[in-house]
Amino acid sequence: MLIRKQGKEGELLLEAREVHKAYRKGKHEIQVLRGVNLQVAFGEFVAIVGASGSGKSTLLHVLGTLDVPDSGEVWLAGRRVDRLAAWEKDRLRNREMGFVFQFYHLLPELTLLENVLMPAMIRTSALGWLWQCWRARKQAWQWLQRLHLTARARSLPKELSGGEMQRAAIARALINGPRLLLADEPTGNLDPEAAREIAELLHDLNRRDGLTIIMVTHNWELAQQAERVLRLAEGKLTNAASQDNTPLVLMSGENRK
Amino acid sequence: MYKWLLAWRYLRTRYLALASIISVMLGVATLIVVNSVMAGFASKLRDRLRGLLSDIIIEHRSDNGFFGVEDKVRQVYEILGDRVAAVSPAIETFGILQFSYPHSREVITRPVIVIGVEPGSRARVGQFCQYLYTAENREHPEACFEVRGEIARRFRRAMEQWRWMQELRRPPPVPSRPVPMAPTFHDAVPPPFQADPESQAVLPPNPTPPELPAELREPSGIILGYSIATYRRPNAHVSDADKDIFLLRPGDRVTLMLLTAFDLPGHDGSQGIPRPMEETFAITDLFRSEMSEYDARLVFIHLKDMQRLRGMANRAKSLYIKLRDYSQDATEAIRLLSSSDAFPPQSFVVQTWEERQGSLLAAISIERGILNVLLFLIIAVAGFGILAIFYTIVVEKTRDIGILKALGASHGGILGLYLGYGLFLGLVGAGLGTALGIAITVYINEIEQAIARWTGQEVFNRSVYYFDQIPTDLQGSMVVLVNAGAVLIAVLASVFPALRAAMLHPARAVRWE
Ligand SMILES: Nc1ncnc2c1ncn2[C@@H]1O[C@H](COP(=O)(O)OP(=O)(O)OP(=O)(O)O)[C@@H](O)[C@H]1O
Ligand SMILES: [Mg+2]
Repeated sequence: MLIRKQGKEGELLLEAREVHKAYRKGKHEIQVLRGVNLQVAFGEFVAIVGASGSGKSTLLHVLGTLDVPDSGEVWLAGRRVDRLAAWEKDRLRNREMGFVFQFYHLLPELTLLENVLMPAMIRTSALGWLWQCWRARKQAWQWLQRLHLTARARSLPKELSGGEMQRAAIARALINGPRLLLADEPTGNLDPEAAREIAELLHDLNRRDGLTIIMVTHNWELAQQAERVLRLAEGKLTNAASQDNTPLVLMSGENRK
Repeated sequence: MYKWLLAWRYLRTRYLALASIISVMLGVATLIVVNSVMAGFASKLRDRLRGLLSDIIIEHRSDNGFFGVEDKVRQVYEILGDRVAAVSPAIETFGILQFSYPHSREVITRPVIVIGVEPGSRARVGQFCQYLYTAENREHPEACFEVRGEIARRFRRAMEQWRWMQELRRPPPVPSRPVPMAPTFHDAVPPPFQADPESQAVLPPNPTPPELPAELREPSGIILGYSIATYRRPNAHVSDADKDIFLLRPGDRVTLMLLTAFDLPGHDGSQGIPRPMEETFAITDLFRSEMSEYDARLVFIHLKDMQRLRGMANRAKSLYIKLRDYSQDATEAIRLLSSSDAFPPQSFVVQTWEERQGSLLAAISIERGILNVLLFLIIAVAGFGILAIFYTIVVEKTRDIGILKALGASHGGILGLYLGYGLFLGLVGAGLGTALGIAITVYINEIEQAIARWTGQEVFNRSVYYFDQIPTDLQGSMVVLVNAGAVLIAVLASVFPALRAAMLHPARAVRWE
C-alpha cells in the first residue's frame, strides 16, 4: 500500500470556515470568496465546479496554504493552518498535501523520475538524502509502475504526452504520502481519452487507497466521479445536485463588485 | 539536496549563463596573468637590486668618504656581533670612459658610474660575482680584476721587448724602475699624483730611467657593464645565439677618467680641488645583471685602484653589510648602527637596501595595487552581468519557483538554490579562468614570440624593459585570493535575484504564465 491511512473514515480532515478573499488592484477590489464554508472528511472525494473566474483556483490555493484568506479559518486535521509560520506551511505542503495543476507544472530541467522525487528531495537535507535516496527511489519506482510510466522515467517533460505528464504530476503529489490531494483542473488540458484515464486514476486512488481528494473542474462528467459535487458561485459554495441547477457558463463578471 | 541538483541542471541547460561564466573566466585569467607578470618583474627587480647592493649599506655623506677602512669594518663587527655575515667597503663615483672599438679609429666617450670594490668580500655581501660573464671569475671572484693568461703574457712580452730595446740603446745599465705599484691597503698617505709636474720636481734628481710608455705598462683590470661592451644586432631574435655583437672583449684597453676626491687637502696643506685623473685599464670581464640600466652604466675597478687614483688611501665611501638573517635582524641592525658613535648621522647614512631603493619599490607596489583594483572592477562588471542574467532567469523561472513552493520548498531553500547557482557559475568560471591564466603565464614568452612573429610587432620590447624574458612569478596565495574574490563576487551578484525568487508569493508564482 503506497498511501498510509491517516484517519478513520468519516472523521473531519479539512475544514474551511467563513473564508473571505479579495484581490485589490489599486482602487478596484474583486471579492472572490465571500464566506466559503467547507468540510471534507477522511477518504472523501469532493469536486468543486464553477464558472471560469469564479475563484476555484483561489479557493484551492487558500485551502492548500499557498495563499492566505483575508478572514476566516482553515483547519487541517484539527489544526488551524492558515496563520501558521511560513516554515510550518512549507512542511505541511510538503508532507500533508499534494498539488496537481492544469498545466502539469513539471520542472523542465529534470527527468520524469527526478520530478517525481522532488518532494522527497525537498523533505530531506542533502546529507539525509544520501541516506534516504534509495528508499525514496524505490517508492518513486513503485508509483511509476502503478501509473505505467516506468518506460519514460528518464525522459524530460518535453518528450512526454499530456497524459503522461499529468500522471507524473500525480505521482509527484503522492510520493511523500500526503493526507490530501488538491487537484486544479487535472484534465483541463487533456484530450478526452487521457482525461478519462486520469479520472479513473483519481477514482481508483480514492476508492482503493482511501486518498482524500479535492478536485476543481470544469468538466461535469469528471465531477460525477466524485462523491460530492460543490458549486462555487458568487463567492460561496453550494451543493450542486445536478448539471442543470445553474449553467456552468456563469459570467465571471457577476462576482465583481 | 534539490537545490544542488537544480542548480547543476540550470548550469547545464541555460546557455545564457555561459556568458557570465566566460566573463568571470576572462576576469580571473587576466588577474592571474597580470599579477604573475608584475610579481615576476617585481621579484626579479628586487632580486637584482638587492644583489647589486647588500642587506645594509652605510654610506658616507661626502664623496671623500671616511678614513680608516679596517677600523670601520671592525667596528661594524663589534656593533652587530653575530648578526653580520660579511662586510665589504666600496667607493662609488662618476667617471668618463673612453675607448675605441677595434678596427675603428673613432673614439667613444661615455659617462659611467665607477665602483671600486674589493672583489673577495664583495662577492660575499651580494651577488656581484654571479653577474660576471666569465665562468672562471664567477667561481673565483677574488681574482676577477687580475689580468691573466694570454692578455698578461702579451703585455709582459711587449714590456720585455721595450726593455730590451732600452738596454740596446743605453749602454750604462740602469736599474729599471719597477712598475708603479698600487698603494697597499694600509697606506695612509696619498701617493703622489703621476700627472703632477710639481711632484716630479720633488723627486730626487737621480738619473731617471726612461718612463715606460703607458700602452706597454701592465694595466689594472676593469669590469665593464655588458651593454657598454656590446650592442644588440638590429632585428635579432631573442633566441638567437649571436644576437649581441661584442665591440670590446676581455684584454682590450679602455681609458677611465676620474676626479680625485673633492676637498682633499693639497700637498701644500691648502684645500685642494678635484683634479681629473686618467688611467688605462684592461678589460678582465663583463658584468651582466640583465638590468639594462645598470649594464649600460656600471664599471667596476678594484678598490685599491680607486683609492690610488682618487687619492683616497685607506678611505672608502660606503660599507656593504650582509646579515645572517635579514628579515629578522634588519631593523635591529639599523637601530644599532645609527645610534653608535662610530657612524654619526651627520656623516653617515645607514639604510637597508629596501630603504635605499624605496621609491622604485614603492612605485612597483602602487602600480600593482592600482592594477588589481582596476582588474577587480572588471570582475565586478562581470558580477553585474551575472546579476542581470540571473534576474532574467528568475523571472523566467517564476512558475517553477511557485511549483517548488507548492511542493514545500522553503524561503531558504529557494534562496539557496539561486545562491548555489551563482556559486556554481563562479566556481566554474574561476576554475576555467585559473586554468587559462596559469597556461598563459607559463607559456607567456612563447605566446609573446608567436604574437610578435604573426604581427611583426614586438610586444615586449627588450630595450625598454630590464630583462630578456618576461619574468613571471605564479604565487599560489594570489591565485587562491583571486579565485575567492571572483567566486564571492559571483555569489554576491546572485544575492539580489535569489532574494527576489525567495520572496515570490507562491500562489501568484504558480499562476504565472
Ligand atoms: N493576483 C490576482 N490579482 C487580481 N485578481 C486576481 C488575481 N488572481 C485571480 N484574480 C481574479 O480573481 C478571480 C478568480 O480567479 P481564479 O483563478 O480563482 O478563478 P477560477 O475559478 O480558477 O477560473 P478558471 O476556471 O478560469 O481557472 C478572477 O476574476 C481573477 O481575475
Ligand atoms: Mg483556475
